[in-house]
Amino acid sequence: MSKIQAMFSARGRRMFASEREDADAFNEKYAGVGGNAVEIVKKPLPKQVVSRNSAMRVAIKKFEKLAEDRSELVLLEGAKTGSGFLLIGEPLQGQQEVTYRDAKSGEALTPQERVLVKNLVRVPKLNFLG
Amino acid sequence: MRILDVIHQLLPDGTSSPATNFAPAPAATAGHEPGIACPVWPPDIFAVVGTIVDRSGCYTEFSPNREELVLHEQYLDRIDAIVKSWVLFAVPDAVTLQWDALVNNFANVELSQVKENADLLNILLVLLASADEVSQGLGWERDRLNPDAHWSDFAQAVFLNSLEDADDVRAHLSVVLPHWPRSLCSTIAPDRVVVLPKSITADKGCTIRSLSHNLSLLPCHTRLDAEWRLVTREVSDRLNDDVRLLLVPFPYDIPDGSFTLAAKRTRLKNDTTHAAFFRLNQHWLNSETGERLTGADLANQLILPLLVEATAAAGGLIPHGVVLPECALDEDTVIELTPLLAEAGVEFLIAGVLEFDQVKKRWLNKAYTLFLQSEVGFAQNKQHRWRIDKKQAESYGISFDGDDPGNEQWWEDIDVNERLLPFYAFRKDTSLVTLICEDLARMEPAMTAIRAVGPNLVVALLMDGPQLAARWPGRYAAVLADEPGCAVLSLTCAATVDLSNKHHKASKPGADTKRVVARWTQARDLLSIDLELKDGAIGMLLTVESYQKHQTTLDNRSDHQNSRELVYKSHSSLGVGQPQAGGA
Repeated sequence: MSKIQAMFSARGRRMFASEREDADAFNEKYAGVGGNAVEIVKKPLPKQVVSRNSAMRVAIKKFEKLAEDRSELVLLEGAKTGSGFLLIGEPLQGQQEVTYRDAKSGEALTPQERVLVKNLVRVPKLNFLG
Repeated sequence: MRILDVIHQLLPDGTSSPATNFAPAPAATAGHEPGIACPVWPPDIFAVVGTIVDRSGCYTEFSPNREELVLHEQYLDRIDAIVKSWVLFAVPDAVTLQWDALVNNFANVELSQVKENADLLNILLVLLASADEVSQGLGWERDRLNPDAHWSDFAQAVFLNSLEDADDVRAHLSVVLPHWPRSLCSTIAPDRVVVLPKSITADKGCTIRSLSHNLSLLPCHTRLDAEWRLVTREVSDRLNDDVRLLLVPFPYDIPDGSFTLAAKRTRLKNDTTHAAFFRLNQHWLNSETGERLTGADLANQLILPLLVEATAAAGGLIPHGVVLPECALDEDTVIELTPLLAEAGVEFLIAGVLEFDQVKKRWLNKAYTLFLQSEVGFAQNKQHRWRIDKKQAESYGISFDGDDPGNEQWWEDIDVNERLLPFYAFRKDTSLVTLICEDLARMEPAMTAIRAVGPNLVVALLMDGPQLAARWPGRYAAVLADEPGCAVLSLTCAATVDLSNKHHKASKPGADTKRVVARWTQARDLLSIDLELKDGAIGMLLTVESYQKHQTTLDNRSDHQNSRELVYKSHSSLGVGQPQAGGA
């Protein structure tokens, strides 16, 4: 990078204070949607889910395996949360409990991540955006 | 090539539809195609459909049928209804049905046959127009003076992707555009095709450029790295629609030794010659005692006094931009100059810079376009080398190849590999792009992008002779003003203008010469104006006015006056009698 380029942003201008409220409202409205990749898989769980990058494919394989093991309807969400791809479990018909687990660690999601997931569920139709 | 082949080429991994696998390209005999889900993000739809339309040439079929104008009005109403029902992440059924019809019913249609199929044409037009209309405002900022103006979530999503902020706003971005600012597309990589925002809809000719108001279709980024940058400033004097530019045609003198031979002409075995190359040495940045001119010197002795004079001439309004010609400065001078101009309230600096890349050991002829108040700036390299011929060298009185008197051509010794072309949205509805000299004349690759995007203002930095209408910069500027309708400012240095005029007078005694250091060419009335520097003057204030412009597409969609055109207002010479810095 040249010296002059280092003096200037190489991305775009900064947000003005007056624009902050709008940005926060937008991000809240679509919280959990988008990110690196987003997809909702509805019943029945498909045998194949298409992804455009290898990282996602790996996550999908894990997701499919976990889904099979748990006999759950699984929703997949690939937003960056700091903990990898999320798995969202919903109870199958007749079951009561809902499980939320991380695709990589298998650990339960934090309450914040669960909120993220619930926001995602409200969106009727999604696609990859990253 | 079939429609399906285009889709596979652009979306090799599919559109990741729920419960839908993207089938590999089937054999040509395949019949019904499995569903390929409609992309959710409008620019992706535009990229696919636009590519089909462009490659098939079927845009010639999209003008209204004069015998069926009522039907066409119904089509326009239909597009309006689709756009009103389209919200982020939820494509209306009216669009997905058209998309599904495209991939299920017409996937195997050859591009050469598209024009022959009325149903297919109708589908393509509805998809293209809908994606374009719902993309209004993408790449631009909100109208902060009119908060009630329409501002879609699509536009807000792109806006948030355009900001520098790496804090919580970006961290929580719910829509991440992976290729932005290179392309608006989400699922289509820029090495396939690029979609960028758009300023001007071409109103002449009949191409895909005349079919969209808000999105432009560009070739893949490997040919040209085009970008779209949001650089608006917070305080806008939009109550006054002028754009004021301080033109500084520096240097005013080119000392001996500024042009040197970098490589002599070499004869090859096959009776051809490998060309000779010349190099520029910026001796005009040295004082008579050999000391290097600093940015502070340049500011205090030249530019700031001109700014004061220009501000007074504009009734107290400081120029928005300062423009210096090709190769006028070096990087260190710019580094020292920019804070002083920013402090003075200048919004942007566009300057030609000659720079040596220490890592790759190559010279670069650069343009810096620096938005000082919003602290965003980029450098771009000249994309084509200048070739001086003997006649031009004589007109400038330069001679640096005495050992090869038969040689008549010398190429500029610069690297032209990295081809970046940033477009800058510097007002909520106005964009500009910078070009360096030869790049204004060469058709590829920049002109293709400029014609597609249609920036409101093209600033061309030159080291050239007088900017007369009949000379090459004036001719090429007129082409851009004609289509797509850009305003073009070309600026050269006073030194080469004076040298050229001196030679002209010597060869044609009594000839009339003008110090036309710059030229303004605009779309309105195709006006082209000499910007002549008075004798003894060292700068110029150019004022242009920004007007709302009404545009329509080939299919008669209105842009509701959302675009702008820049129109010449006035110019005046500055600094008459002032001492000149650097080579005065």
